[in-house]
Amino acid sequence: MNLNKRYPSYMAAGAFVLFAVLVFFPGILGIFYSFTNWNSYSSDIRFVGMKNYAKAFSNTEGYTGYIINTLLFTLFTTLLKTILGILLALLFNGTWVRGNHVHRMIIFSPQVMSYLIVGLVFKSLLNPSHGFVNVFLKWCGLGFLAQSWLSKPGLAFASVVLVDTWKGVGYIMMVVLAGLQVISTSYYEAASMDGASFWQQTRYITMPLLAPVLINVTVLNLTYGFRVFDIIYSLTHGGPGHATEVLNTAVYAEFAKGNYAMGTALSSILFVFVMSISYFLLKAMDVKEEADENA
Amino acid sequence: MKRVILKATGILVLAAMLTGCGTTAATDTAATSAAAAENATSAVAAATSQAAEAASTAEAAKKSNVTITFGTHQSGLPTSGVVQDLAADFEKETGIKVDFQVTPDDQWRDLLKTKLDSGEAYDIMCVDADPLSLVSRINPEQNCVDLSDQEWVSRMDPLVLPDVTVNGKVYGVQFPGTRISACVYNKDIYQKLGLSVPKTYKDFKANCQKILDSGITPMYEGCQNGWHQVLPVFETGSYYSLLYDNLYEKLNKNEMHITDIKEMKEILEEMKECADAGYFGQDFLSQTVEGGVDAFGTGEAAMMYQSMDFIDQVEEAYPDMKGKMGIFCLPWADNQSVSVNPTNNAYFINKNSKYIDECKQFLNFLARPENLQKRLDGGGITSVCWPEIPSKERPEVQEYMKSLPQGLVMQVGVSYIDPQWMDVGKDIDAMYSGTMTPDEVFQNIEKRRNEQAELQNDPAWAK
Amino acid sequence: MKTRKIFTRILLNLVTILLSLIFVTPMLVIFINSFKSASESNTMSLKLPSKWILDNYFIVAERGKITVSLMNSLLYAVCSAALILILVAMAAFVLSRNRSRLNRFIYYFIILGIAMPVSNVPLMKVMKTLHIINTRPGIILLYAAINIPISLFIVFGFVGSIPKDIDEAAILDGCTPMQLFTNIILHMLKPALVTIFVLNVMGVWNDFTMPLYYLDRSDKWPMTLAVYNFFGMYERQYNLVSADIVLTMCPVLLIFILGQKYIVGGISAGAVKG
Repeated sequence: MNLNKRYPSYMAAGAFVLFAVLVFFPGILGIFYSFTNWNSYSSDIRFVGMKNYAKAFSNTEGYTGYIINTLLFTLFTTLLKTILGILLALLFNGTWVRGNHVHRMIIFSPQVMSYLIVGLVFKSLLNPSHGFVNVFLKWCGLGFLAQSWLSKPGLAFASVVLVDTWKGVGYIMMVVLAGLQVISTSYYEAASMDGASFWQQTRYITMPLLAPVLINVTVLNLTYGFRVFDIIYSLTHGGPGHATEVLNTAVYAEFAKGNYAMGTALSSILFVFVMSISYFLLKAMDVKEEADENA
Repeated sequence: MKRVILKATGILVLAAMLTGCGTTAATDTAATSAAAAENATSAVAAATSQAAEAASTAEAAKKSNVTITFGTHQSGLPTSGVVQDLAADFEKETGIKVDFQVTPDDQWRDLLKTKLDSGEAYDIMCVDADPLSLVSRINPEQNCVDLSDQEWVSRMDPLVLPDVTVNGKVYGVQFPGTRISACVYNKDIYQKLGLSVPKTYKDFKANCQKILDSGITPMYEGCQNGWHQVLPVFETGSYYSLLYDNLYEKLNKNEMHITDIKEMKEILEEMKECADAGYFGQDFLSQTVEGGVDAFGTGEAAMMYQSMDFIDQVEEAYPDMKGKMGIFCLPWADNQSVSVNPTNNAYFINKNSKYIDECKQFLNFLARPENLQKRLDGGGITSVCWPEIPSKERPEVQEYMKSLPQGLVMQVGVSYIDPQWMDVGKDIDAMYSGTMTPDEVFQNIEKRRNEQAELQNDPAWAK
Repeated sequence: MKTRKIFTRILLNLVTILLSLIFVTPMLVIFINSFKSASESNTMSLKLPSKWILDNYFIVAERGKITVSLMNSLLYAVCSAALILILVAMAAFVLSRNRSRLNRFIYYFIILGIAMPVSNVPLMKVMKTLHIINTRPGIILLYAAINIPISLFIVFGFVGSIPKDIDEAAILDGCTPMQLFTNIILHMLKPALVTIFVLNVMGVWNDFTMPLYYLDRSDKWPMTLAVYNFFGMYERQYNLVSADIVLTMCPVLLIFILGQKYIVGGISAGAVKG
């Protein structure tokens, strides 16, 4: 039977139309504007070619610094969330810990808070003079560890990364856990008989079988990291100074100035970034899948 | 309208499901279940919207059931809630409900611009109004209702009218009066340490050191809000104007540059020096301006640069502090002059509003003498820009203003300063945390001005 | 050997408890502060309130327009998630099964949306032309549209894990494509669908920028925006803000507890073939 008949394409039409009208079309229009001088002060829009892009990469505005920050943020949060997520999932997949489900639930729960609230709460917890963290450190006699968490340049960046990990790691843990639970126990039984240790089993059985899940997770983490805005905006506003500024906060600032064209140029750069990275990962997944199918 | 759209939603979904399967009887199940789901969805939607409508009609059934939207930023409304109280009175009288929509300060300008650009804004907008940036901010000729014929126009302070006027037409109404800011200090601490009011930067620094040595934070600073740290740079405008003839005019004509004002750079350097010496305390980068009230009331801090209603706020929260606060001119770069700021936020009516008459009614209501008085008594301001209502400015403040030469703050007199206020704030934070030098902050101000001018096609820059 | 095992076990338990504490503390702080007086809550700490004030919740419920905004939030979250579910399930099914040139194009075209920036001004113009700006259906459609790409990405992977033999069998039994989809595939997709449903509900529930731009009246606002507005007005009263946060979090937490089993089950099961 003909595939087109059995799986008629019109079933995809709803998603396609809705996406095309409300996401793709306005998005493309936005990208088109990045080649103009579009701003909020005049209705006369002129084509200016690559001028906005040249400015973005010329570093007169410090955008290259923002691009580096975006990359670092993505790198660190992806690594932290993935590594911690895997470790936690391994921990909860076994029977070592009492109250397994309660712990799991607690670690996942920050996921249900909006970034707005996370920002507000941590701003207050990390306040240097009366915030919970420093008060607690002093109470433990660790007063020398008390810091201005959000207002020292390097530290603020680390704080943002950690808070973001705090919020996001639970989700990654859950995904990995789901992946682990699908792996058949017979592999492990066989390995145990051969005398393989836990770490050996993890290295040679779990990780390879988990690879597709990890690719999935990485796509999610990377696309999130590149486009991060909410958590930084609500926690540090890009500050102190410009220490935690990323591409999307710069986009926001350009829009606030009324320089729409520059804003869309920056977000188009981001678009190309995310798109190319996702493309390679998706391709990797496709190749893997086809290999599996052929096997 | 709502119904139609809901149906459209349904059709979109159903169409996708039905087009192909209509021919076979077996697909009925699919279609029905989808239809059922969709019906349930729209039923919920209809129910909630009806409930909401019913609620608002019941409240306003008396006279009118119009709701006008009032868009504002956080600091556009006094925290005492006096404007909301007035709106409640207004509703009692006319049945017209005012729906306040408060947006945080930093997001407001962007949001409003986007809404205006797409023709979908609030009925009444509360906007920072000054003659230099009003047009770029809301373009009243295109977006706002001409209010020149309203009764209250003649009663408002003529000095304030230019803030809300474009090409001879009045578009807005303003309530708060002229503001000045000065250094508020704790007289007790000064007396105990045997200090006198400083007239030069050198004296000021010496005072700070002595206060710091006694274990008190000399100067309260709050950088969290993003704007307070910028005040010294631009609110010393009166001083710059004394030093350079026709400074503001020349700056606006692009005949002089910000970088020509050496004193501004000097001030930035002094600010950095004070911050490094610990005169602002340890945590000033994470403190808020509002926290100043507590720091002052508890005697943790000895000085703060603030507008004059700050004294009222401290006295209200800490009655012990009554009469213990004085003011002096902060001698950045040896400045001895007062900068006055006559501008404030004002209310404008959206030209595309469906309820222009109701909006006018509301503004007329607010402009009644008894309501002006109520507004003044409601706190947050020390005077209104309506000469018929006597100011509540303290005698010592009035005296202070008379004792020194006066001038206009820079953000009101010089173009492209106010729009970059928050950016300068970030640069100053960067300077305090060591990632920018005072000179870089200084150069950036000039650079941003040129950028804005170019963006707005300023003829003075075209040459 | 045995003592070492017991030792590891105790150590792991301790580490887990410590970790859970780190994760739960911020929420505990909020919870405790929501019962304090305004001045006590000035320092957000774990110190118990001198007097437990329940009134905070009533004040918030009244001033924060909780009931209306709660209904709105539920409406937007549930409807848009339901819409996504239907559209994405169908799309993923055919796109994954029939990898024709056109379908591949459609799939990558939609997936492209994961990276696509939202441009508010053009979007506003489009919504205005369609007459759906400032309407409830408008915001529901918008949320659905924005979240379609990532949802499709998740479900698409899952469809691949359902054996094609099932399709063959069903067709041989005389099923039409639509029947095959509704009677068989939809059931097998359940874990993935519940997952995207829960994720989308949570995503929409926590968003606050879209309503800020695309809804004009506060009686149409969802809870987050009501909270946002509330911050604006009561910035210095952390006790009220905390109570408001607790009230906003409760419903999502509930949804999560109910759907937990499926969340864990769904997301990656498609990618792992055990």
